[in-house]
Amino acid sequence: MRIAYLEDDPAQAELVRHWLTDAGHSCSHCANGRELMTLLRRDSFDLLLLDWEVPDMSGVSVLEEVRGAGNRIPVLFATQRDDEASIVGALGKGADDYMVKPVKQAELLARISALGRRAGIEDAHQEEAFTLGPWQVDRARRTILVDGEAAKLTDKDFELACYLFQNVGKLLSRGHLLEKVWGIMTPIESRTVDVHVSRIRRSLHIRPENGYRIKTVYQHGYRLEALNATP
Amino acid sequence: MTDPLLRHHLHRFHLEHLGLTMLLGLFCAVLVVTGALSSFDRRLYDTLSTALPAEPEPGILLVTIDDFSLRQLGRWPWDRSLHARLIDRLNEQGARAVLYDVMLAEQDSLRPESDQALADAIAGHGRVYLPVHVEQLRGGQLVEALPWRQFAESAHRLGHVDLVQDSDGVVRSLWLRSGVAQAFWPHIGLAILEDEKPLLAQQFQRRERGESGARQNVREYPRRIPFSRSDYPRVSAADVIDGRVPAQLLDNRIVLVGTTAEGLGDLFRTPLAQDLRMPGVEIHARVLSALLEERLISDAPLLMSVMISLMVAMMAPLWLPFCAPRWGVPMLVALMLAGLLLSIVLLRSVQLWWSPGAALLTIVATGPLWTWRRLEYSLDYLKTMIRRTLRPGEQGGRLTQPAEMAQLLRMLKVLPLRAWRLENRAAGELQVGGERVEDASWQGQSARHYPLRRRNDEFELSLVWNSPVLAGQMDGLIRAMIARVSAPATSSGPALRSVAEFIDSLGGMERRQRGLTRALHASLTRLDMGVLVADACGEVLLANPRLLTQLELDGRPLQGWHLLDLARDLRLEPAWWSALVASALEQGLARQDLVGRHGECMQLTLARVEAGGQVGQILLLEIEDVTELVRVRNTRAELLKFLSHDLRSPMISILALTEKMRQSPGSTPLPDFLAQLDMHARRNLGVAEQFLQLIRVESMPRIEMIELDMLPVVESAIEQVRAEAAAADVTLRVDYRDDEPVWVRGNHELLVRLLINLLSNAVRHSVPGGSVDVRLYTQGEEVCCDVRDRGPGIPAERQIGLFSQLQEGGKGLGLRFVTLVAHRHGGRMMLESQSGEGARFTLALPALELDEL
Repeated sequence: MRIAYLEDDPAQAELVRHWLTDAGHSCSHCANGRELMTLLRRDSFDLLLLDWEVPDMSGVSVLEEVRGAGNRIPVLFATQRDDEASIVGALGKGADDYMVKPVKQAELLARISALGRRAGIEDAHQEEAFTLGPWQVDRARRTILVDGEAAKLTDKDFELACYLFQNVGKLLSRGHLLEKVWGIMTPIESRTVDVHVSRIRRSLHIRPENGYRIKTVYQHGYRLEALNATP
Repeated sequence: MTDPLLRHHLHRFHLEHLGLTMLLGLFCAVLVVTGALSSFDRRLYDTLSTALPAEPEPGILLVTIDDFSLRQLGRWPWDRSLHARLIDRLNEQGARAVLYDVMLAEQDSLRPESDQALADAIAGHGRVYLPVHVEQLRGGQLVEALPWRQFAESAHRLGHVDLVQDSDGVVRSLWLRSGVAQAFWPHIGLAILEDEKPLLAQQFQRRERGESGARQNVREYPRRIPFSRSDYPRVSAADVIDGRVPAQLLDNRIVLVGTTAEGLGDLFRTPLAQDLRMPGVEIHARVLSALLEERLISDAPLLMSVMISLMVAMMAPLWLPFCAPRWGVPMLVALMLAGLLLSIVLLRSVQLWWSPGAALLTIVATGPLWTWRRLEYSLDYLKTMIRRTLRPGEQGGRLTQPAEMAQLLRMLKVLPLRAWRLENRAAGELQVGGERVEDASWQGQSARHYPLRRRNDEFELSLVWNSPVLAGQMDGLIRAMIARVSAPATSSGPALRSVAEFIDSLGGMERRQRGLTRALHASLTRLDMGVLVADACGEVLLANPRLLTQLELDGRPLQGWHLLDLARDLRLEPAWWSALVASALEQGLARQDLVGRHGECMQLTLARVEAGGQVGQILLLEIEDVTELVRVRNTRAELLKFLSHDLRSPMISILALTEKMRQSPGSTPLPDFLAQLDMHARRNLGVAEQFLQLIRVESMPRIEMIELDMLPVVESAIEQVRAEAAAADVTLRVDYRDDEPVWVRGNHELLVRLLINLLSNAVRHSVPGGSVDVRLYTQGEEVCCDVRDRGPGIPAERQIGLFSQLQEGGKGLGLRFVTLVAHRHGGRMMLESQSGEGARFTLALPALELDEL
């Protein structure tokens, strides 16, 4: 993948560049926002990796400018600030995912590949039946077997589980889930998604022992993560 | 009266009042002199005089030539011998005097012997009084009609019997002396009086005056006849002649003989009963009786009458200025009653008739005149006052003046409006703002229209809000803005024309004044500090609720409350507090630290403030809760102490390591060196992170919370310490029940960090190969999360203060954060530990009943 990378700390930039090229990506690094914007106008990329705090033009400003121009390129944030307000703010402005510094190699690569899969394959994965870890999904019968045993699921539980299983590693906002699973277009203040996530977490035993977990990303949404990357 | 305006008004008022009083006096005098109210006065007199108590004089007897006599003795006129017989009978029976009120003006040429008999009888009795009439002949000539010479000569005396008929035909008075050209004849009653009581009669003596040339009726001593309701004893002439009257009835009586028969004419209307006519002889009986008992009523002379009337009438304008408006009418009524009473008293006690009509009318007239002037003056004064108050920049301040239109328009610009327009209807001007909107929007649900009046301009303010909901929400604000810029049309006009407008503007003033006071109170109430205002004398003028709460004085009335009374409430020595007040008065400012009822730190400031105007100087007492300030200050000091050690020491270690490496590069193998550097750097990062967490939570005014499931919270936390646990060879075990909902209201991020703190703490205190158990469950109304290690445990003496104190190596930092977060979630932290048994930390949060969605 062609990745544009914004980072002002040369040591970190050097390290991340090294990881990315090792993983077979091409990486163009810029040390400030202006430079990156110039680069973006000149060249095209598959993904943006942005540091939050950089001189002269912050990552958020870059993001706003990119999204303002109608560019749908996937954006991954890396930041030292791990407080909820900043992260939810950045996600709200159109970032696709975020990571808290110090960044770990495996996590970064996993996120990048999840984001890379994103473009164009949103709804392509409509297989009738598939298997993920201990779960066997059968769309025709609307059942999910956990280690061979059928789990008790409501209709919506099933839809939600399928959608999460098909988007492993991707950050899915509540609004997104409401739209895809419930067909509700206007964002509403409701705990519907949370209650259902909580329920499938239990009924399908989605927990680290089974190699997967559902990570809650503050008030923003959820991500189904595969744990094989970390020991 | 320091107000020159008021003085000026009063001066004018006094002058005009004097003029008004004199005018009323003149009016009264003219009424008296012209007798314009005579018909009212007569009516009043008739009512009053007939009510006078009077017993008929017992020595008087009426002998009446009535219808019965005519039937018995033949028709009128009688033969003179019949009269002679009557007089003879009276003489025989011992009548003392006889007033014979029968016309005997001519001789009876047919029966001279009868005339002779009568003359003899008259002479025989010796005290017979005969009447004289003053008559007006045809052609206007006046003659005195005397009895026939023969009778007149034998009569004892003659007297006139004329009565005065007022213009309404009623007999009320008579002249005691009357005659043509000179007042020669006494009234026949007076003639008797002169014989009976000569001393009494002295006062009515004939005045010697030269004979007037003109032959006109000259009269003296006008008197009013008291018509009492009592009847005089009377007998019929026929009974006397026929001897049917007992002698004792006539013996030694003054007998009045006269005609009473209906056909004989001599009947008059009197105040007693104006329809029932009274015979002349009966009237004469009353005159005689009144003369004998000195009961004749005289009219007050003109000058006296004027004086009394003025005296009574002038009371009204003289007293009214000293009388509260509501007592005005009762006072006037009282004055009128007093006038009436005076009239009655004069009539009864000194037989003097004073006509009160003029005085009464003057008093009545005073009422409206006075009210008119007073109203005029009050209004005039108030108008001037109001105009002065409404003048910009005066004491009322900004709020008593309507706000400028431009201010309203400035404020409109920040409101969530799509468009606005302000139309001046009179001038046809239009101001617009915001974006362009289609005409239909002005009628839509988001639109609102507000009419407003400003002086002589009428406006309409139209607004188009961003949403219909806003239109409703902001309605109150817009109305408040309109109220501030509105102004009545006349408030600046040169004259306030009508009372209604005047009252209207007065109302406006009052509303604004009240608004000012309310704004002041609202501002005070909202203040975060206690404020108390006292005047220069120390009397408490106002205190805001905050102060009352601080001093626990809620509900105490401010009435008569003195600043110096506060010593006890402030928990200060009275002498110390007095000294503090004194120093504030002297130097303008005094400060004092206080300890609140619940251990809060308070700061008291007492300042002398120039307030100007009528209030002069005020004392302003402020009490501010500085607990938070003190706490923050203390925390900062504590943290600085911590930072200076815990953050610096790993850095110093790193520097020492690199220095050592530089000096002897071969002494430590590179991997060991890197591992040591790593350890110090991580420790430093960890401390810095914990520190930041703590500061962040402490500085958060409010934590954003949502309903959340505790299970992912626990899982997130475990996930993040898994690496650390694996490195320390510690197993992490989680226990929860699938069917047990563990929802709480909280902040995901903070709760995860809380648990990470607990977990990594437990991992650090575990031995290699040991385990940390996490249990998530509900107990009662709480969701609990246990974190249990199998480490050495915490001795009881260290458990106290474990959650709050900072300890060496930044250990306390984490637990302090844990406690803080738990508390801010409305939960609590519990610790159970014994030495050697490991430790169990429990986070308990209020459980949330979640509706099934």
